[in-house]
Amino acid sequence: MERTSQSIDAVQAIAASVAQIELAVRDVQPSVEVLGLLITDMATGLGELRAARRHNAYPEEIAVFPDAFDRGVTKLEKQMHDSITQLQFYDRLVQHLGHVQDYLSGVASQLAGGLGDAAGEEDVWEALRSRLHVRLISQAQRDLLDAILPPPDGGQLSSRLAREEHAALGTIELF
Amino acid sequence: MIKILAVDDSPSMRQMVGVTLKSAGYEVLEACDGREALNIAKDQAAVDLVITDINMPNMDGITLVRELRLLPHYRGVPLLVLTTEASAQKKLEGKAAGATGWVVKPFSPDRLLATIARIVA
Repeated sequence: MERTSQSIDAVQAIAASVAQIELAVRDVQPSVEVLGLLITDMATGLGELRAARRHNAYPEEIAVFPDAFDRGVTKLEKQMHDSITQLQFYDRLVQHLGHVQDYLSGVASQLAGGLGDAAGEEDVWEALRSRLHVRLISQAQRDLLDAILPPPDGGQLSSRLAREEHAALGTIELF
Repeated sequence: MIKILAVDDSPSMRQMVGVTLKSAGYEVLEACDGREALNIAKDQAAVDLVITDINMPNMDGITLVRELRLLPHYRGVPLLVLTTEASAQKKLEGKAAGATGWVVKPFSPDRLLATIARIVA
């Protein structure tokens, strides 16, 4: 494929999209850092509450008959742990967008460089698609990619194999 | 006190791992990529556990695991991978490099702490 004014426009549109994604991620970073600090403060406060309690009470009685204070602290601890889990979805979002950015950059560089013969061209697009498929971090993301941009051998097979080969969120496996 | 080295290029992830571990009474060292972690490992006595991400600049987590296993004082140290990477292929790479286990983000603090307690016991 020759470089045409259309392909140059497409490269510029992709570059603009990549830059916008970059900016969006950078824009929310300070707020996420503040959230992280708030969770850290919650953890420190919980530690202080537990330490203060130990000085003033009989641990054996608390263990057997937890009162409102203990139940409150335990509930706060659970909420803090849930906050830690939920905040990690931001990290997943950044990772996801990073893979999309890499894909778009690969597409742009193919368009910018011009492509060879038709068979070689097909290989390049499939290689880019396939790399994104492997790097995506959830089954929903891979299913969406397959639905919009199916692989040459059929999206259903590819999705089924991916489902079998990817571990679920939060999985812990010891070797 | 049990000392854990947490390696991740994302400041918020390092923070979350740090909060989780410190709240359970562990001492935590932090590194922002594999290279920094390897320097810490070379310069100091071995920690009791390393928790590392995979996708990081300068040196990725799989390379870090492989390099740590070459250090005599890290041959027996548990190395836990904590990553968004969930593919079987990546997991096999980690296992072959010498990782002790694989945790897919987002981690649950309770489950992570229970696993760590089992590993370092």
